[in-house]
Amino acid sequence: MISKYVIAIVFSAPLLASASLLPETPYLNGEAIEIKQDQMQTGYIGETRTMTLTLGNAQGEESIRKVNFEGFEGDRRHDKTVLRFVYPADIKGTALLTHEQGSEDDDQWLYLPAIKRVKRIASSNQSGSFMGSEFAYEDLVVRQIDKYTYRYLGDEEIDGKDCYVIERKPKNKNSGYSKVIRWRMKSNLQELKTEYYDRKGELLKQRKMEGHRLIDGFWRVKKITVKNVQTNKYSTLTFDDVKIKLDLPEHKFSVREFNSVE
Amino acid sequence: MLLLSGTGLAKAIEYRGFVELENNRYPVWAANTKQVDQERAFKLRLDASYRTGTDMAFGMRAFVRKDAYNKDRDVARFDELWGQYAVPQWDVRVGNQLVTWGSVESVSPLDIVNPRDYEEDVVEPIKIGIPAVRVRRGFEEADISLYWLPYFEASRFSGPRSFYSISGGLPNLYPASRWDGSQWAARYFHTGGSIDYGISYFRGLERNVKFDFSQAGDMLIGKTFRSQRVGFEATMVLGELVLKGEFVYRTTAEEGNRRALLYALGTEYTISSIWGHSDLTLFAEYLASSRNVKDIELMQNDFFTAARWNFSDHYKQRIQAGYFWDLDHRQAHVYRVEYTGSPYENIDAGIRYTYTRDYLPGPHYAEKKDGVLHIFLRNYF
Repeated sequence: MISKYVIAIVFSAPLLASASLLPETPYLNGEAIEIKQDQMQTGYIGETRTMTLTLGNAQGEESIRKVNFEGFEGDRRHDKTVLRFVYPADIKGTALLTHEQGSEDDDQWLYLPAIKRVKRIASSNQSGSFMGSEFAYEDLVVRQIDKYTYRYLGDEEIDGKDCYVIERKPKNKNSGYSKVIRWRMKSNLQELKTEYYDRKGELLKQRKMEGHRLIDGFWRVKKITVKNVQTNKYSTLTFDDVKIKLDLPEHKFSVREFNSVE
Repeated sequence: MLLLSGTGLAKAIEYRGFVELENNRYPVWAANTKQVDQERAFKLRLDASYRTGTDMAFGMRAFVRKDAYNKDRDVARFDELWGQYAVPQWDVRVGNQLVTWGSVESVSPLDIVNPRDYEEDVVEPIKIGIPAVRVRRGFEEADISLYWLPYFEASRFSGPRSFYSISGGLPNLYPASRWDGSQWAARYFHTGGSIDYGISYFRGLERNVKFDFSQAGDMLIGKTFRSQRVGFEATMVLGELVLKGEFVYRTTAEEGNRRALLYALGTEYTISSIWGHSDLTLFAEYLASSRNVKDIELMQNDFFTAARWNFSDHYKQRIQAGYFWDLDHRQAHVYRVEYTGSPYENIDAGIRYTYTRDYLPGPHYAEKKDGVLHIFLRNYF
C-alpha cells in the first residue's frame, strides 16, 4: 500500500508541479521571500522542544527515537543548538552540540556518555543521515538563509493553499543536494512542501509539513514527514512541548556544559 | 505530602545503564593451569544524576562485574559519586570522578588521571573513578579546570587467573591504594573555529605501575613513581578530515626514565551514506615515545588503524575492525573484529574476536599466538 502511494507521488509530483506552476509575479524574487521568512524567525531568543522521530523502512517496520532540542539565537544567524537523545536507552544521554556558521561548515561536538567524552566531529558530512532517518543533518539546521542561493519559480496551489515555489541551490559543496524546491504558503511564508534532488539531479525525497501553528508569535509545525522516493523509506518528526522566547544562558551551549551533570 | 515529595524526587532523577552477560573463550590455549580458559561474567552499570534547581547537582556511576570462573575480574565500585555546585562561570565538583583528556581513539598519552581496569578488556580498558575536587572557571570559548587528586589507586592489569595475566599466572603485588594529598592537575581547554586545543599539567603518582619479578622470582611486584607531565593536545577539522595530536613531556626521578616525550598523532575520516544510511569511519594513529625510554614505555613505536561501519538500520548493526602493529617488533600484531546488532529494542548482542601475535604488552613479556572470542548480550535501561 505504502509503495503504491510512494510510486504515485514519484511519477505524478513533478508533472503536477510543472503543469500547474503559474508565472512569476513581477518584482518578486526567491531571495527576498526567503529573507522575509528568515526575518519572521528572528527574535525567538531561546527555544526548547521535545521531538519524536519515527523511522520506517520499505517493509513497514518502524522504530522510535526521542530527542530534546534546545536552541539559542546567536548574532548574525550563528545560532547554537543542543540535541539530547533520550530514547532508546542505548543512546540515552548522547548529545550533539552545533554552532552554526552560516555558509561555512558548522562546528559540531558529540558527547558520548558511556566514556564521558566530548568528541569534535567534522560537520562537512552534512549529507549524512540523522540517526538513521531520512533527514540529513543539513535539513535540520535552524537558520538556512546563508547556506543557499534562491530563485523564484512561480506560484502554485497545493491542497487549496496558494504557494510561492522557490528553488534553492546549496552554496556548500558538501551538500548532498543539487537543488531543493520549496513551496511556501503566501499567507504566512511557511513551508508546506519540499522536494530534494540528489547530486545527480534525480528526485531523492519529498517533505511535507503539517500542523502549522503560532506559538508566542512564531510559526511552528507539529509534524514533518519525509519520504525517500528512491528507497521507499520514510521518517516522521513530531514536535511537542514547544517553548519559545526562553532566556536560555549562552554558556549552556558550550562544550564545557556538555558533561556538567552527566 | 511525603508521597508527593517522593514522586517529585523520582521524576528529577535521571538514570540509565545496562545489565550484561558476557562470555570469553580462549581457543588457542597455551598458558599454565592456574589461568582460566573461559570467563563468564554478569555486569551492571547504573548511571544516575539529580539536579536541585539550577546550581546543585549530584551524579553517580556504579559498576559491578561478577565472573563465574575468574575471581580476579570481580569488582563493585562507584566510578562516579559526586556533588556539584555551579554558578554561570564557575563550578565545583567533589567526589569520585572520571576525567577525560585528549582526543585519540586508541591509547592516549594524555588521558592518565584515572587508573584503568584492564580486566574489563585488555585492548580497551575502562576507567576507574577516583576521589577528586575539581574547580572550573568558564570563559566564552574556553575553560580552566584545577583538580586536587588526594587518592592514589593503581591501574588493574589482568590478574594471575586471567588469560592475559602480565605475570603468566604468578601472583601480582600492587602498591597499596592510599591517600596522598600532594597530587594535582590542571587543564586549559579552548574550543571553536576549526581547532580545539588544550594545555594540561599533572603532578602525582603514575597509575600504570612498573612491575619487576621478586628476588625469588615467584611473583610480580608493582611499584609506582612520581611524575610531572606537561601536555598539549589539538584537534583540527579540515573539511572531512579530523586531525589529532597529543604531546606529553614527562619528568620523573626514575633511573632510565627521567625525561620522556610521549606523543600520539592521528586522523579520522568519515564517509557518509556509503551504503544506504550507513557511515564508514576510518582511523589511523601513530603512538610513540622518545627513544631514551623505548624499553620501558608501552606503545613506544606503534601504528593503530581501525574502521567502524555503522549501518544506521532498523537493527542498528555495526561492524568494527582494529589493528595494532608494533613497529619495533614487526612480527607483533593485535587484530580485532566485532559485530554488534540490536535484535530487539534496547537489547544489543555482539561477537568479537581478538587475535594477538607476539605482541609486547610490557618489556618483559610477550603474548604468543593467541586470541579471545567474546560474546555478549546487553540490555539497556
